[in-house]
Amino acid sequence: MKVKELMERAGTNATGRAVAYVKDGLEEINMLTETHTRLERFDITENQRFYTLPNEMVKMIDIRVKNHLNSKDEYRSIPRMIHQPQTKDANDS
Amino acid sequence: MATSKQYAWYIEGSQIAIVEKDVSFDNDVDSKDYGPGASRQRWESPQSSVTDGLEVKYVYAPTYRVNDLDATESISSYEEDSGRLKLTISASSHTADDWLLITGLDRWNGLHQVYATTSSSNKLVVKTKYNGGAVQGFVNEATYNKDISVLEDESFELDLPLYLQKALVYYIRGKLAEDAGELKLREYAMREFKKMIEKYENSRISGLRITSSGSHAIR
Repeated sequence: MKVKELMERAGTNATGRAVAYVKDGLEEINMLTETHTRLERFDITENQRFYTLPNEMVKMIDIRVKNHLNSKDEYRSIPRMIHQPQTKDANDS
Repeated sequence: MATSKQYAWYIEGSQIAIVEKDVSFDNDVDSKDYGPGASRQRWESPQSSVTDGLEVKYVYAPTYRVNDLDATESISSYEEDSGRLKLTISASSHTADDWLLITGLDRWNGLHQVYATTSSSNKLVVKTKYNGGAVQGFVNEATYNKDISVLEDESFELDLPLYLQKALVYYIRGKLAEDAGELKLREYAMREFKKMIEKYENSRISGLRITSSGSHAIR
């Protein structure tokens, strides 16, 4: 379906507003259900604790790290810490 | 052979923190106090560099469509240019306001718009704001695709399952009703929107759904 047809069904001819709401709606749909997922790999750098998440990310599904609790180069999901660790990083704000 | 490690994560602002368990064992066989144990056990920043070590799976909103997957160019570095993001690429031409889709470049993944027209240049400035140092030497393959359609006008074809496209109609109706101050209509449209999304979710799961109490529940 094109945005034009969607606008006709919704009963509006205000293109700018409709496009803005379509963008909002697509985000909202992806918050509630997962239609488009992407897997990205980043390098882990020694002594670097903080990594920037992609700006386009709507929702995070999983975090996996290579060789976590294995020595076969497998990527396994890592747990989320409830409390921050005692040892701070140099870049810790 | 790779060694086994133990990692964990937490969120700090808009960043993800990766920590690794640092364990020093004190089971020295020459010591009279020999026995299993650890003299140090704490969570610290990663103890070693790992190429492609971190894998993030995430959801994004499909506000664009890739027309040609092969229309990609590599990015070798990026830096700041008058408060904007400047990419170093292989020499190519771009027109102002064209859209690019960057992948493999952590925080810059996603859509960016060309700031000024270039001709056979290996520098490309995009409208994205950036205020930081030059970054280069990516181990990952950082690329951008220049053949994409972006949701900008009525001609954009939505990249969404048919049933969810109908749900989106209710969302638009709801937002328009909200603007008009018709709150009853808004509530009705949003309820239908959420109901359709739930029905879509359920349509992907067949069989029984059973919930049971946890192993530590009071019985």
